[in-house]
Amino acid sequence: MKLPFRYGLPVLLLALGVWVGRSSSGEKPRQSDHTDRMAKPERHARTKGPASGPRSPHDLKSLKGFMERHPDGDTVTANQLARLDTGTLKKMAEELSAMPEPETALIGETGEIDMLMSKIVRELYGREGLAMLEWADALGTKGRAAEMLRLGIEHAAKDNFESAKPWIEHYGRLHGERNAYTLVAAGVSGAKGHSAEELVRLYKMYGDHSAIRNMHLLKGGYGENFDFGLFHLKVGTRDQLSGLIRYWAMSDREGAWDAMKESLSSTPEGDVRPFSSLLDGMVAAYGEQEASGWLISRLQELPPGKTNDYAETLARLIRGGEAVQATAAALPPEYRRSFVGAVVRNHTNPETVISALGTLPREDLVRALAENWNPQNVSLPSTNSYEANVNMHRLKSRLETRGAELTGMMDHFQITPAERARMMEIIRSRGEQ
Amino acid sequence: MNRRTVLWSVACFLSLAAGIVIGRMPSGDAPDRPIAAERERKPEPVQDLRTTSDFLAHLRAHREKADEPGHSSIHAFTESWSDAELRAALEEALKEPGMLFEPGTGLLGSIFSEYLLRDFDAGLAWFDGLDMRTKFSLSERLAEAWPEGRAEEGLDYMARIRDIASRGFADAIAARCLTDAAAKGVEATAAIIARLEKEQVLPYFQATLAFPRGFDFDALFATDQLKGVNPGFTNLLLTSWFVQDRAAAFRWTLEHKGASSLIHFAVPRYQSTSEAISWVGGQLATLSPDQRREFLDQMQREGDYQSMELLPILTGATDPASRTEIRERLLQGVFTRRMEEAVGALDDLPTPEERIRSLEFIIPSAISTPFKKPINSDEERMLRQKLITWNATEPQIETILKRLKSTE
Repeated sequence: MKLPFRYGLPVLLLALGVWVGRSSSGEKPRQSDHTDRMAKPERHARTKGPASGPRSPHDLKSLKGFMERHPDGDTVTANQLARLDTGTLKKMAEELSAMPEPETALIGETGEIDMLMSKIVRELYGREGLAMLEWADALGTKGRAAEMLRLGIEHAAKDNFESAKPWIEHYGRLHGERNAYTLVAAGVSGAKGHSAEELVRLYKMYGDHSAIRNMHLLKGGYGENFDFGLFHLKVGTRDQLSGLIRYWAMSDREGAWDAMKESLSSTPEGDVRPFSSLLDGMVAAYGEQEASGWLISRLQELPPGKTNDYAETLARLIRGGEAVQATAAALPPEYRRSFVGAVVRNHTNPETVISALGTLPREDLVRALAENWNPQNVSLPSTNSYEANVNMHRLKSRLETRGAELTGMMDHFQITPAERARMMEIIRSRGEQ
Repeated sequence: MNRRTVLWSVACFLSLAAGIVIGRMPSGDAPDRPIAAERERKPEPVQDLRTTSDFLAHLRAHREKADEPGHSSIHAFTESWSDAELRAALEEALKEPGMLFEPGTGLLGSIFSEYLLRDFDAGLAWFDGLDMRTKFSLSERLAEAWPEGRAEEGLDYMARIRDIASRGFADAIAARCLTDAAAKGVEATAAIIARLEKEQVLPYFQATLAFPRGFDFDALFATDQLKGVNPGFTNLLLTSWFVQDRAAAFRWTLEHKGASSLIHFAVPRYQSTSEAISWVGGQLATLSPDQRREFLDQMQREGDYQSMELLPILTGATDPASRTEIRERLLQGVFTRRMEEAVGALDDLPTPEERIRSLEFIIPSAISTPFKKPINSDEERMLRQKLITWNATEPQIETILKRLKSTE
């Protein structure tokens, strides 16, 4: 027993010493900062830190709120402006509106002046609402003063376009209808976030306005329970209004399809915008494979001519190889050739093209290669410009690439001499048409 | 106490001391301690903005910071978030597919950029797991964040995602490759250019190239790899060279591409400024008469096609003979809807009488004839006003305007 104790105690004391040493060392973490991270992309794990602001949780909801209040990330200006009294804010705004116009102002200064003006107007509108427009109107009708009024009306239009309507018209009379455009657009943006009923009222009121003819419905910002069906019924979704369909498809694809079926059947030839929007929304919400599979199962509810058009649109908009192959395989034979032809024309990944071609019977495969070998969007270059050689080089490059792709396809599918002759015959007859 | 006991006690003491020393030594493998305390966002110095100037100064500083690479509008707000929190926000944003349709993919794109900034490889792995549609929308964010020193990896990656790699993606990666290679020298640059040409990236490449000061462009253009490369790309290289040494770039272009190609240095789309265009005008005196004619012919042909400003070419020419030649060419603008330049050229004549006489006797040149158009009402108004200022008589004014309005 003496022996183990004799040697055991020093060992125990050694271990004890190590433990004491570690506990008391306060080992420092690696020093690193943003600059280091840029120079050496190592991983710097971060554990939970304190909240960003005094009481802001670290989640998407708080980030969204932050971006809504401070889209440029600048909290300081907004917070400091909020401290100032209304009189001071108005004096500052008047000072800014008297500053020289862009061509005479110091270079670089213009951006900050306009930005500050915009933030002051936002703060003032937040405090006084429509009442601040009377003050802005009295500043004058030129330069920055006019801009101040426009910014104020924009806030009002977003809030409630019906209340803002007299001001929108007033601005239009002062500065021309074209310049009132952004105000109607702001109204669209606001109404979208409120309700379909409100957007319908806006469109009924401003049906002829140029802002309506532009694609504001392509952008998001629709309210949570926006009734797309109501808008479709009361206003419609043709032409530039078709952008709305993508959001409808995201929230209710069955409802969107049922409501859109009739107009999808009757859109003018070549106008695939409504269908593209439908597909776009579904792909975003469900992924390519599921979206295209779902749509294919419904395409047969449409007239045959339309189904072909839409099969080609599918080929242009679906990007993944797996989705392309699955779509080709799922399409009825009478539409599959259109789809695969469009894949050959539009896709650059040889594996994707091969997988699509592989779904065709042999004769259709040969025909698809012959009919679609031309590269897309090729135009003859201008010969006048000093850059004529640039355009020629691009053309040559595209033709060479396309030739290589076609050769690759022909090698892969082991096109026979007889099939090659058949392809030449098809190409020649198309050239003669 | 005997000697053995003393020795044993000393050994115990030394064991304890040694243990403490070993315990205090830094461990290479020890994981980082939680660094939340270090990562806490340093509270911004309290700002007290009171006057318009204070606010403008702050906004200017904010804008300069926003222009720094890697900066985003959400950076300050999320700086103190942990990686897990940022990733959770990213996953949640992904569930809102509408974000994909916003300009620049909106908040989803910003959070992704922020995530890539912190840990590029983790961000890339996350990106790899996305469906094609989402990948397509976010691919440019990925390209913009691609780390320095790994640009060729970006090219390899681009080949894997050919179906969704947009023009913007290709350009961002190519620009990164070129910047990395240029820092290493001519050989590396020529090698990467050859690879980019092979990968079909160069035909449509459009980006501002950043070359180190003193880069040997002459040697680069002499390499085999540059022969046969897309001429549009070599134009971009010439632009970069011009920025660093305009005389050398001008000389090389004249020698290797001819006088007509010098017009490149006056094309706005290749970042030409009024000052640079003026400089080119000043250099025309150094050309031979044939070379000058070749340049001016091209200038007349390209004016509209390249949306060029041609007046600075005149104002930069100090040599009287070349100034006269340039002026005569710009005067042809009365026939080709470039009235503002034509009036600028007329104003360059010393007296009103000479200006009126020029307009009375001017005829369309062979170069102008294919582009000839009658003057429109705005041009008529401008010219009439100028003629009145120059004290032209009413018959003179009507004769001049009638001739310019003619469609023959």
